[in-house]
Amino acid sequence: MRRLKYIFQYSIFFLIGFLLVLFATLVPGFGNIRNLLSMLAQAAVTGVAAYGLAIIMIGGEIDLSFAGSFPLLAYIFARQLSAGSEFFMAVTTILALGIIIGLINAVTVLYMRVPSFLATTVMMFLLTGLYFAISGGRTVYIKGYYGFLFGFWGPIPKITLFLLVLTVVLHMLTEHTQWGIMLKSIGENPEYAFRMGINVSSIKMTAFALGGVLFSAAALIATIRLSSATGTLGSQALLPVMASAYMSTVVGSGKPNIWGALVASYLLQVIACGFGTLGLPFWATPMAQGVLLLLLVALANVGKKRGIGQVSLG
Amino acid sequence: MRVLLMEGVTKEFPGVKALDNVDFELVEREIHALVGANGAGKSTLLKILAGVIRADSGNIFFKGKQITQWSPRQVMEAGIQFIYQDLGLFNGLSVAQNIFMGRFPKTIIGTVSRRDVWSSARQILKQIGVEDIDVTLSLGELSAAQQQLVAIARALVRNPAILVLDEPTARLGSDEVNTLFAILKKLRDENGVSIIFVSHRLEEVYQIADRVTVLRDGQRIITDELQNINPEQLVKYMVGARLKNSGRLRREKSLEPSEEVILEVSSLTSDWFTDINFALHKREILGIVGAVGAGKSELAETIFGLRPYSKGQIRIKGCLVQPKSPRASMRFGVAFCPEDRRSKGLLLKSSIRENIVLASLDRLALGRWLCNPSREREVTQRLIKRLGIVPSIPDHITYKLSGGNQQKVVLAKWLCAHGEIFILDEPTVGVDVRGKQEIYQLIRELAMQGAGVLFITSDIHELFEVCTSFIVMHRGRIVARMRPDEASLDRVLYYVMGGSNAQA
Repeated sequence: MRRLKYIFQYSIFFLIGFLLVLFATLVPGFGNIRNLLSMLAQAAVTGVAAYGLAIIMIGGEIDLSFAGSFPLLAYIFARQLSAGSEFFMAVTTILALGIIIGLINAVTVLYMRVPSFLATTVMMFLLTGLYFAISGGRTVYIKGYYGFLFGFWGPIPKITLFLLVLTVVLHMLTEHTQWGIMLKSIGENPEYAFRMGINVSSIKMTAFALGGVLFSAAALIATIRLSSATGTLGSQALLPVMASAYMSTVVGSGKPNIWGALVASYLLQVIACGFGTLGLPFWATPMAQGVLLLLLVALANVGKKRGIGQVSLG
Repeated sequence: MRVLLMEGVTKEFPGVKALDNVDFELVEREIHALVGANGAGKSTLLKILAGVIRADSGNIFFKGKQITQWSPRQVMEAGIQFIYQDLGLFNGLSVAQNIFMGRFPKTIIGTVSRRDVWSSARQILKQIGVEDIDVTLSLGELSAAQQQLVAIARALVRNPAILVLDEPTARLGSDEVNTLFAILKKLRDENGVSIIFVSHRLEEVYQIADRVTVLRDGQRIITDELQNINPEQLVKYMVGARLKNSGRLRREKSLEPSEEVILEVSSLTSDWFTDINFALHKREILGIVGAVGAGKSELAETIFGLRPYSKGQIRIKGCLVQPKSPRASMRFGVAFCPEDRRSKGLLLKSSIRENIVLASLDRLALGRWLCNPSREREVTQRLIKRLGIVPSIPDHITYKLSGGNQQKVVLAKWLCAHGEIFILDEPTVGVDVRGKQEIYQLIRELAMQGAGVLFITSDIHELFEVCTSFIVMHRGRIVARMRPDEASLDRVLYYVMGGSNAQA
């Protein structure tokens, strides 16, 4: 039974391995290192947003507003660039907007006491509405090649490096700083955290703000990658981002975490790429991703050690 | 006629014999008080009756028939109703829905008619003489006393032969207690219900009960008509002769409180207690003892800044403070180990290390922000060794530890945070005998090193074991102040149960 438990707990790695082997045999060239790395680069959008969501989930809340801020921020960004704004100026504006959205979420959740699931879902619709109001739903294209972001560094795409550095930084932040530990304890038991003299509101506030920044960063990466800002950006991101953040609990400790989110978003990307190159219809990918999410979370819970309210496998 | 007979009931938990060959008998139309000090086995006996746990040996006869299969559901169907301290009602449902939960009167097409439910609920409440409760309100809007009455009404719907009340008066005022007692007597006389009544209050036992059974250390000491026993005798039965002389208990000579006052509370008053005065010195272990509902935990939470108070002063080391939040209190060196350590005192899913350092992250940090795992591990390792936490692995998950070791982790956390005033609320609940001794020893060491300890307990033996002096609370007031060497167990229990000075 012990071995079975391990298989359940690390099922996500087995799954990635299995899918890689499967696609590599079906599609020539799928298995080469270049493709493997490029899939990691393509996972960046999902990954960065999933980091934001995972951080908020560590604190015991949730934030779905990214599905609305994606198209809105992408549109604003593209318009700024096409209006001749300086690149870094535009980037800073978008990141700042991300923080502001995060803070608004935090205020509704913490001070107006709206459950975060509700508050951020409403925010998602508000932002989507705002996007359509100002854009009319038109796609905006951006010109220029941002090689310093999307070039290669030897065989490694620069964006992959960026993703890995961000992963390490956020991992340090959530696991090895006072802030991270306080956030974790708030997520586990807010009443107790309060009793330990932890300022619950301010920590959650910063978590929402950090989430907002990461969502806006993901929107930026998506816009630059696609060289355009489209309205479907948000709805397309909703499932994979949410799935990655939830699946991160499957990797390791049973709580949302940064490394887990990276692994999960890579898995989802492998599926998307594999299905794409096999020529499966567009709706097959989210269906497969969704089923996987359910399966993995179920498997991990079944395989968990005798926990609180969990069925024991002996 | 005998309704219930429990015969030779024995139950052993790891390391402790909770019930040892106990007999308990209940006859028709009687109110039977079940009394005993903490840990005497009352709740174990009731749990066995309720079918929640199974006795190791012994027989139960209900209405003359021996019962072999005994599950909570069967107990309920047989006609034994339990009203626990937390009542087990649903705040979000209406009074009527609570009363009929699980057995709604149905209409022909099988739906529940609200009007029928309301009128039947009113009828039931009227039966027990309650007319001022609006059955359409949701339960959460009622007072504690009214909720208690709803719980009784719910029990009545099922036509019980036996009604078991576990400390029903702990949260009631004295008028409300009188109402409740009138209802219980009515149930006994008119409905023929037999009632088992658990209480920690002497005057109530005498006011309501016909007979009493005293448990002590898992054994039945006596069952008799109350009129044959006077209060002093009753308390002696509960305490036992062998422990009467407190001088026999081990005392730490070296523990002599200093003159320096570290915490002073004067005329502190709130909704939960009235006019509390005491001073805690350095190197002192001041016990606060009282029954459930005496207000001792509320007092502790007030000092730690978790509850507001309306009047009075709190001084820490001579400075007037107004504790508004735990954060503020911690800054003054106040450490608080709550009674419910599993939900309020620990992060069960985190490691020993994470728990211990949580209150001192600032102090252990590397620079301003970064954690310093190696230093944390070193500190944790030292505390684990000092407190004898088993297993001695800093990264062990806390929920796997025994109760005693979990409590040590809570203490270690405050040691790590350099607490000076320790408020310990029932630190030995759910801890085995050996663990208790270790915790007592730790508390003594804390005091010897200059800390002031407020030791809150409802177990009187503990007072004599660890405290240098103690106060007794009853219904939110301090009713006695004593030192272990000048008090006897039965005297203390007498005060705890609400015996007054005049009678003494």
